[in-house]
Amino acid sequence: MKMLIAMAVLLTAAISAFIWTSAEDDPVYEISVLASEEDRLKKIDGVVDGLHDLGYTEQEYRLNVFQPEPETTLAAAAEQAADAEPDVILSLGGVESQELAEMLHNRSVELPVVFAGMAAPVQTGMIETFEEPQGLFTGISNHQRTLSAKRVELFADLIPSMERIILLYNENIDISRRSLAEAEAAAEQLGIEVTGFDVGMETDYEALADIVDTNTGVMTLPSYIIESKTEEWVQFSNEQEVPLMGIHEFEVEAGFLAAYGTSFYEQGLQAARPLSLILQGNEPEDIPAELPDVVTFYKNDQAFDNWRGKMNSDIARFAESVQSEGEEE
Amino acid sequence: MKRWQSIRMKVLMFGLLMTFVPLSLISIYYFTDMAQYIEQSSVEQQNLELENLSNDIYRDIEAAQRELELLVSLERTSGEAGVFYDILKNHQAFTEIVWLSEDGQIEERYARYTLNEEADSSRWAEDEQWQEEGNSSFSEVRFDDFGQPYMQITVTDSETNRKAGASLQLQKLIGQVASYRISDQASMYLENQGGQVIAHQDYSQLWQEKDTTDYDNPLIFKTDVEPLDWTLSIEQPENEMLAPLYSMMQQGGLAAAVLIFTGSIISVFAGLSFVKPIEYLQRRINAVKAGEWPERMAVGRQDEFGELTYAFNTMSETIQEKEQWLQQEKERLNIVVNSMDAGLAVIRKDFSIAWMNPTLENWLGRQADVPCFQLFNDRSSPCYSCPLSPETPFDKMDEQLFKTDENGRQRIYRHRVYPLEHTLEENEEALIVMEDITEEKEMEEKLIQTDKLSALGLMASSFAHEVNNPLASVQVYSEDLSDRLSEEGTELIANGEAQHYMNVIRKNIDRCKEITTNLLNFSRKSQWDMRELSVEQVLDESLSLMNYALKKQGTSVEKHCVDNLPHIYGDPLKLSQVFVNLIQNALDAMEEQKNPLLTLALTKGHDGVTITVQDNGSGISAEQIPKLFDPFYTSKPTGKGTGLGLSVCYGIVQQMSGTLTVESEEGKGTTFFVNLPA
Repeated sequence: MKMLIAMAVLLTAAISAFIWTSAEDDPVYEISVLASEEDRLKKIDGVVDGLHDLGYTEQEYRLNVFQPEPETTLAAAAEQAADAEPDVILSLGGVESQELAEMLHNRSVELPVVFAGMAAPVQTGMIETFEEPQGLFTGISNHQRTLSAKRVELFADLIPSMERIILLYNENIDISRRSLAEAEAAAEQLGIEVTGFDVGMETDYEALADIVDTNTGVMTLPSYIIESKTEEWVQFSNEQEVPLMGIHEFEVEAGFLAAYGTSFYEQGLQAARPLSLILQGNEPEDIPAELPDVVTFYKNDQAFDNWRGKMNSDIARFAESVQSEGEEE
Repeated sequence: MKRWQSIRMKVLMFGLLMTFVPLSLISIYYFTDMAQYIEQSSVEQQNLELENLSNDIYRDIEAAQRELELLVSLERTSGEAGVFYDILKNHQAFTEIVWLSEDGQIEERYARYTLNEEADSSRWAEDEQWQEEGNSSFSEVRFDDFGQPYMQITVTDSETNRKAGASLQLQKLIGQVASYRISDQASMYLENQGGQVIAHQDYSQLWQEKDTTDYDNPLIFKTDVEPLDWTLSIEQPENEMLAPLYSMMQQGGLAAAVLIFTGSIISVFAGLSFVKPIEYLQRRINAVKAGEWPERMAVGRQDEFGELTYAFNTMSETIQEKEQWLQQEKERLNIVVNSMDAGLAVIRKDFSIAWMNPTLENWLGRQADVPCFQLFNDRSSPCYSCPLSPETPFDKMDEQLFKTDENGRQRIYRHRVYPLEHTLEENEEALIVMEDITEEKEMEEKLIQTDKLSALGLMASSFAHEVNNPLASVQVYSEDLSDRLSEEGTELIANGEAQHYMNVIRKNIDRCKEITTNLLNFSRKSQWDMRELSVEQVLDESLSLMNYALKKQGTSVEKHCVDNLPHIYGDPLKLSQVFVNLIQNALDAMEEQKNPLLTLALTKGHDGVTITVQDNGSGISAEQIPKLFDPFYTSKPTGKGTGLGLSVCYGIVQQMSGTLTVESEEGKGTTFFVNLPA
């Protein structure tokens, strides 16, 4: 009898174990995320929401973020992202994508990469064309190079009294130089006087102040160095009482007069689409790179009030008001 | 008992069936229901996904259309850009908005990505097939310089003929369709009105006509996207869609199997735990049946089985005690039965003899195969009044039979049959009691004769007087005749007087002869002679015998007799003895009575004749009545009665199947009732 009981228990346990093990686990997608700076991690929020909108649950994927620590470089973080053997790597910007491209090339590793917002993917060689990327990279272009021309037009139209625009760029950054060229061409077409100012690694604010006079506006061009000095540009703008035009929403929140571009969140949200396509088996070379779905014109009403200049009300209707940081609505 | 018929097997089968059948039925019902539910849910879910996405696309297109309709309906001056920027702000999908002349030339242009100043004077819309939808026109899907898909919309105000157009980027819409994840294998694609795929998860299929399916045996769900006449489809392999069902059935089936198996094991153990004490009890009962008396079983359980075990122990002890008691009783009964003088036998319904005691065996010999009526009565058929006879109205039998013993002497047996009540119907049995009453009968005869002699003694002086009177007449007449014959000679003969003398003498002699004949008849020792008789005649003869005594005591006799009194079946001499005894007792009771009166009545009874003998004598006390018919009991003075009279009367009347009863009141008289069957 005891033998019978023991057999029954064993058989029950065996069948239960079989049932338990036979339940197939859904695959968990591993996504390595490479970020060069903290601000760009906001794109991850968009990625998460985007994947959710596309039918993914949080249990189906894992986002492993790699970013340079104080004692490490972005290149090292890129290598760590590849070493994790992910299903796909999510690059949060142009500099990250260039680092990944170099690393993958050097290591002869083929891992699909989705960039969530970079200024000139074709020009920087990440992709062949938007329609057919032809490589390991695809993703979302933030269109900043092209939008530099549009921003010159919007900035000039927004402040009709402005006679000259100083374009802040970084000579050492490829996209920054390319954007300067695009902006200068647009200014020439529009009949607007522009002056390029290389901010370098250490900006000479006195030199910049020297070229600023009445009816002059300042507009930043794509550069992660320029982005990292947002507070300094706001301070300079306030001190010199010059209108300041940027790219990102956070710059307007910091005190820029206006900005025109796509937000980090929107870039992340849009990047979820190519991520999903790769996770579903497509190759990056087959997935067209996309321009941003959403490009928003931001303005800071408080900054306008402080500046006390006159604003074109027609253009202002295009803008979305953003409050300064710490300011309650 | 076959093994499969045992309660153990039945309990096991019951346990298995009660587990297997309900769980199987529940599982089948559950799986069937869930299969339908899952299949239906999957279809509904896919359709819902399609509808939702289709509605999203429709809303985007429709909203763009409405914005442009609103734009062309507004009164505005040239160069007024605010309203364009409003639309661009509100509609992120618009990459540019143009204000067109009536012939389609671009007059104003507001772009999201490029400079507004890039407008030229060429027609905004390219020459190609446009789809008309009311006052709106939709171009085919195009690609801009960055390879981004877009579509142009133009809207014309029907009243003012103002025109506006917009480029609508489709990358988001197409990207959303392509990258929307339904499942691992399902694919969603969007076809334009020409049947070309404009969005697909598999980008290699873009801009091709969808003439094949993505999977073998796919389930295809489609919905139209208005107003563009696009078609949004989902293809999903049937296996994948039903995978949750298969998985559920696989796991559910195994779970059900585990449940059934576990339930069966539990049922089997539960059943065995119930059966085990029953089997233990059965073994004990078999031991008791085999004559063994096992020790008390341990009462370890507190449930009904515990109570059953306790009850069995008690019952076993009770049976043991009763068996011992029965053994003692049987032993006693055997001693009694074997030692008693009566013969006992048990007979079956078919009159065969089941058992007889040694006394009867000694009388009749052991003949088991002979029916009782042949063995006891030498008859060929059952006795008339045997209660075992199918048609008999009697519930018991009590009669005498005669058999000659081995010495040639006829013996009298009392033959009684009593049906046994507690028998099975098929083996209905009866107890036969045979008593040899030969000596008893002889004693009864002696008693009757003794009583008769006693009565004769009492009647002796009466007889003497009765006879003496005619004899005296004979003497007187014969002496007188002798004297006259000597004197008158032949003259006496001639005148006939001698004849007269002779007649008187002869008459008196006849009287004497009658008296002595009656006396002889009464005193004759005779065997029972049962025959049909007249009760009135016997009563008259009895009165004749007592005539002198009645006269001597001056007793008045009244006799009443109804007409047509029926004859009865009996012995007249024995009956006469009864009447004589009763009349004598009446005379004795009326000795002190100044006007003794004896009333005799003959009436028709219930089923025969009732003879009433009533006196007005001293009567009998209530204490004496119960002992009145006991032998040798008498209330008369010593020497006057033997104490046998009424006892003999009772025996004679009973022998004639009649009854003898008495009613008496002390000081007023006594009445005896003799009922005799006709």
